[in-house]
Amino acid sequence: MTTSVRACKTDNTLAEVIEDLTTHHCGAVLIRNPAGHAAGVISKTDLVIAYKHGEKTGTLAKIIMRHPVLSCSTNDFLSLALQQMLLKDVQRLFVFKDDPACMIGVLSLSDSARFRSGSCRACTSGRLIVGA
Amino acid sequence: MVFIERRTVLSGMLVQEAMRRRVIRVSRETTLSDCTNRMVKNKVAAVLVTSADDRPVGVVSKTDLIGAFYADLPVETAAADIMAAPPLFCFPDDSLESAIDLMHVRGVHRLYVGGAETEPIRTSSVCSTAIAERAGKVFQRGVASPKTKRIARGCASEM
Repeated sequence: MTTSVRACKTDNTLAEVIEDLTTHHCGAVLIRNPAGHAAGVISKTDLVIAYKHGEKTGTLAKIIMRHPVLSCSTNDFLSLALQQMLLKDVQRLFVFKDDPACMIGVLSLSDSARFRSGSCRACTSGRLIVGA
Repeated sequence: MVFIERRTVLSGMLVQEAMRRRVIRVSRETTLSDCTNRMVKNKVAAVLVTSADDRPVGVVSKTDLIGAFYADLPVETAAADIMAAPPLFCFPDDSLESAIDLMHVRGVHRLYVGGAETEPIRTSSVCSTAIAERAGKVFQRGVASPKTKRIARGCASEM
């Protein structure tokens, strides 16, 4: 999983959400409520659909965010997390450790496939072949 | 001379083994609203823009649409006005790793695959064009940069 979670607040505008997504090259941001808990998610797809439906960039994030936040625990098996993503047709799950309202990471389909393929950096170091 | 060869399960795979064979195309005049429809309906992150003679001329991605949203462009704007051009290509018999390297170097998430029987930029039929988008998105961040490879070679030389 990716251990940094990009987050915006429910009162942020879509323009601010777009700036955050673009700056950090991510596909979705977590939306937190004033208490700091996960309240929803806005992905690039949500923004594109909002654009098509005539929303303005000044619209608040809470208007278009998707909720509840689909999540899994750090102790869940990867296979179960993947199953959840495929069944619910989402690209990522947010990951919590103890409190389901406090996300500590993101697990995307890309993360999973990269790990499985052995093309992640940790695996690469174990597969180096020294030749002459 | 001592060298280090990076090997993963992707080593030896060809682009044609990972690419999608369905390309979603729109014309230059297609509105951004219609582009959105096509992307959502087909669950893709980008559409290929083609000219009147069916030549690929650009790409409109979700990121481009979000940029248009941010700039307050009307949804009736034509795809040609915001597309990224030219589209980048590779061949089906290219190695998957070289295609991923190309995506990494050019900072893109997808390559269009030109049929071996045609010039890449003139690829016109759906059958001979496909997208290695999924592979690119999946593996892009796992690829060592050229700088990393040089460092690895340097370390190997010192061994």
